[in-house]
Amino acid sequence: MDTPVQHRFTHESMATTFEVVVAGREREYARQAAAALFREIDRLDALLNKYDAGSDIGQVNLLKPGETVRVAVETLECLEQAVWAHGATDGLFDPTVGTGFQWLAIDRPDFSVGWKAGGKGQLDLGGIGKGFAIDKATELLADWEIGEVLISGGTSTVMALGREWPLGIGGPWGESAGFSSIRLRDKALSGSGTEVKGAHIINPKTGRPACRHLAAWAINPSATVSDAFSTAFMMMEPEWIRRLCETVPGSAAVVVDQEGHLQRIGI
Amino acid sequence: MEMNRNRFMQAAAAGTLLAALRARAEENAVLAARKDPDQLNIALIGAGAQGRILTESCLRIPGIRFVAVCDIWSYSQRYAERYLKKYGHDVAVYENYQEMLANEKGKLDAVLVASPDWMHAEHANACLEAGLHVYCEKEMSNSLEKAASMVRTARATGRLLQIGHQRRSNPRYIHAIEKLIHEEALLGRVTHATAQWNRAKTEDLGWPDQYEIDAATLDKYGYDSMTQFRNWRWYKKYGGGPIVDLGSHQIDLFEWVWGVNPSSVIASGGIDYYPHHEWYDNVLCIYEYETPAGMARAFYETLTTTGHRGFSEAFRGENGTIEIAEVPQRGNAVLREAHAPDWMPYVERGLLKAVSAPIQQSSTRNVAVDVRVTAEAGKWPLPIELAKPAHQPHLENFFNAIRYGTPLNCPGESGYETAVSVLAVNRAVATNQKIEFNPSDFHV
Repeated sequence: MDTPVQHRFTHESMATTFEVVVAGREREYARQAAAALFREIDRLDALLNKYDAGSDIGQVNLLKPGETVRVAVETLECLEQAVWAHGATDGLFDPTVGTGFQWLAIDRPDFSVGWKAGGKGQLDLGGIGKGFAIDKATELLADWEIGEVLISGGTSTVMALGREWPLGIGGPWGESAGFSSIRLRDKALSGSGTEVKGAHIINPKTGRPACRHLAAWAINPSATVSDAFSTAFMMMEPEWIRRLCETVPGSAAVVVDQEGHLQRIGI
Repeated sequence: MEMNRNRFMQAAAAGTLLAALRARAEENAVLAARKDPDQLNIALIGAGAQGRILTESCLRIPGIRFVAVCDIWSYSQRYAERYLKKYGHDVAVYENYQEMLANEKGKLDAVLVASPDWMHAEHANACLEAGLHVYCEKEMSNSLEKAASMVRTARATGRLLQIGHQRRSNPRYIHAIEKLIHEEALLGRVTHATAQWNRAKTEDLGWPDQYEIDAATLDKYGYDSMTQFRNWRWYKKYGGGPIVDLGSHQIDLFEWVWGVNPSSVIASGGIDYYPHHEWYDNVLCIYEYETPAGMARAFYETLTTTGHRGFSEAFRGENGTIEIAEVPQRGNAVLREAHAPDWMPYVERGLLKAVSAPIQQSSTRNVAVDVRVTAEAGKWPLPIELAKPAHQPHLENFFNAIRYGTPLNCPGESGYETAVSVLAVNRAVATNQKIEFNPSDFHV
């Protein structure tokens, strides 16, 4: 067999289960490295968790219009990526989930975030935070000299590194379409859909559940981007997704329409 | 020639004057930087997990500039240097704290000490003696003699020494204890307190292969192995075990609530789950406090094999109980006893939030009494707007003390009192005997 020994480790964070699979290293060393990755994910959760009033996001949500608060550089980085994704998806990915993105104020030189004088919204990084945490954890792997690793956040976002990893895609619709797995290397895959949590993705523009597709998957070298895109792809026409994937290098998508037809975009 | 000689003399004089002026300007600049209350220059000794938390909090406070970082581990040095660089702070990096003080003390106002407990006294005392103010992580030390030396050095040098019991500066805790319990007597007489910090089982910390410290360097700094260096909290030489690492934060609150130090403690615990560790992996203890209002008792547990109930504290009085935790979602409410006076006036004054209604009335029609379990007391939330990152207010209090002479919320003397209370638990477990305190035990 050409498959090296794999070690799996799990950890609860961000209200889900993260998993790290390490290939080609001794178990105890792999465990220590996975523990370091999980500590980094916990550190980011403590910054981004909207349910903790003392976290960066919790504090921003308690601010009044016109107020700002200093936050960690990681919170700024995550928000900047969220703002970028908001622009790239014409507002369908929204870190305020329709509550007032136009009021968000980010002051990079001062490391502060808050709301413009005219109003405020509520930040919710649930659609990007897990991917961001995976990207930040990935940065630690060079220190540990670990190349072949799979990091997943609640199975909704998976980063495959160092070699080709077979990943499930397409759900039940993939099976009938003969496309139920994909091999990825140095890329992240994120899935959004209605089958686990029901219609939990809210279209920020209408305030109603997103319902263009039954499910969507996004592929991108960045887990932050794939996480944000898969949420937005649920609401986007395939032709629009295709154009977006052509502009953002390394992107691809799979969507399942309301009739259950699976469509591959860029793969 | 005369002319030339004059010109030479003039030029020489001008040169000397210029050099003198330049030196004076540099000195003034240094002094100005040091005396400018808007900017404080600080260094960090110990850039491990706790040092990073303090660093992240300091970076949210305006006017704080990191000048130097010291750690014996290159991996931590590299992390801190890179992290601070993201904020535009270019720091000098040191392995040896004496070298750092020799080179940097002229630029520094204060030092954060976040090294392993057994080195706190050596690091803090050296910084104080170098004329610098010190914020030192709790526990002050794993030895009371060393902790006492820190109090004496702070007194002798006249420098500030703040101990890192950060709940003492947390606005939510100040509100709960000083406002609601002390000033408003919301709970009536507080007869008991309970607190716990329980963690799910964990395995030892490791390290990346390429960053292993060589044996000679470990030996030079007093560590027996890389495993012990990484997991120092479990070893008697370096730390005090979970009751000190976790319990100290919360046992410190009992004295704050009751205004007296404990009169005794009994404890049970052991090394029952992690046989290769030296410190007790589970400890349960009961303190007695002879308060002016009468006897009060506090139960504390720290478990490292189950995370059940996490970390929180409860101050329990005749009229109600405050449940609080450093993370608000784990505890942030007052439970009212049924016979307590009306609490709506507290809501009207903004001291409590509106109650989440308890079951008070029969919900079944045509019955006189709906028989069911005792109605749960209503939970009256504390104002959540007081939330801030856990360590930031305590650091702000320290920097305000330097800048404006604000009193410290946890000076060395207070930290020492808590160290006496907490370190006694390990002694009580070891001897299986009740430890009685004299009031004089708590003072240096």
